[in-house]
Amino acid sequence: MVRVKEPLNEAALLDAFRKGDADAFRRLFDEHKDRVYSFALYLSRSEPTAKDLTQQTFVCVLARVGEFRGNAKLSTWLYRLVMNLYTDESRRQSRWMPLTAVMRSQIMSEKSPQEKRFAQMEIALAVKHAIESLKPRLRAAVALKYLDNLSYQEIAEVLGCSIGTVASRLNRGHKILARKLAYLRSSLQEE
Amino acid sequence: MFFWHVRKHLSAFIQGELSSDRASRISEHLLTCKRCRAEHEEIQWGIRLARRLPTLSAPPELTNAFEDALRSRGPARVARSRRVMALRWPVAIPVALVVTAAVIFFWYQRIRPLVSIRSAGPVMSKLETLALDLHLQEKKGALDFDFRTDDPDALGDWVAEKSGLELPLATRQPADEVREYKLQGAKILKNRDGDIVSVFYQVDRVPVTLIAASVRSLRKEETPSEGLWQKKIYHRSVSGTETNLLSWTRDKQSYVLASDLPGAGQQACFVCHTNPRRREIIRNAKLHP
Repeated sequence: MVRVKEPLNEAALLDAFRKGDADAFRRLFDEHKDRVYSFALYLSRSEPTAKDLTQQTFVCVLARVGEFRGNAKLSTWLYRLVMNLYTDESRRQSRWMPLTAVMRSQIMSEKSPQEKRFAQMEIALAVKHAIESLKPRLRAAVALKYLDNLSYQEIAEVLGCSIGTVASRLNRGHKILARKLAYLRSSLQEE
Repeated sequence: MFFWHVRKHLSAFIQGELSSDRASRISEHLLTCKRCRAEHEEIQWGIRLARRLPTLSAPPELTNAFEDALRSRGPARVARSRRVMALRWPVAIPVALVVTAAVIFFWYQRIRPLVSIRSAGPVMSKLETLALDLHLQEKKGALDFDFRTDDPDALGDWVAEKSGLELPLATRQPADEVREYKLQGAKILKNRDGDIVSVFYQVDRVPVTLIAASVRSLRKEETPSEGLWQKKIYHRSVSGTETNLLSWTRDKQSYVLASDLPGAGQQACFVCHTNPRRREIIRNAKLHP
């Protein structure tokens, strides 16, 4: 029997946490940690920096939970924190390692012997390599759209720009991906 | 003349982010425009690829670090006490003062001019000097463009790809605009701290030069102040020439607009601005000393 995951009532969980329920915040952390980490990694292109950013983001939330009023999605707030922390961090340091090496080690550690799954992973790696090569502003917009399917309005709130700018950045990002990965058309058509 | 292509809006169109009216207009345009249809297909392919972006698992050590943080900070307990209830009046008075200040603020926002044009300082900034130099070279016909085009969309994409800078150039002028705006091309100047892009127009055959740079590539004292309550534009009339320079900062980019247009040269701003209300504000903006 397939178990359907119940949607989280984030406002209720935050409220419970403010009243002393630490487990409520653990649930929120478990729900969001992968996406926050992924966004931090795509932004920074450095595993150590992404870990720092993720940790700092959640520490920030613990300290400022009273400020969150529930008028936006919690994920939007989290991404905005990551963005602000990354902006401060990127002024301080510039070390990074090729993203593809990080991604490959993460993905290849999963057990999947089938050929088709391997081909899918290779395509995913090619996509990530292409996204890695985007300029930071385009990379941030693309990551927010496809990690969490944020609307253009939500992406604009996270990045602190207009919806038109988001549309323009996503448009450019899509075109660059399409041109860089034109050679994958036949591979994807086989699926 | 500008062509009304929809390429800039195709991602938003495909992803359902446009109003139904706008989406319908774009659908109709796609039926008749081969160029935009080709780009639509390319962007659809790009979106299909981007959907493959996976979410990665956060490393296990992050959970341990989180638990440590949770133990040390813990949830904040909000304690209510009778003393809090007794503070009602001392809280109400400051709140009333804040509300009054907010009302006055919003009323002022409605009546204040949104743009102020002020005289620039006595010394030309490096960006102004560069803009003037390029403008004078272009007037003599002595400039080689890196990219020659009359398509603002194509130019915007080229600039973004080469320099990471964003230029919101107008793709078409309003129907009541009598001047002819003709884009010529662009040039990128490579700089250690960040590229500087220069874009060249002719407005009724009068040369207009727009340069843009990221604020991170400029020294703080060289960056025009953005203005908190209203947008600040700095004007300089270059002595011995008919050239006006307008400088401003917006969205972390600084700009200089050099033109030989009359007045303070603010009509040159219409290479980007097409909103009727904004154009009216720009036309009527007064020069403050």
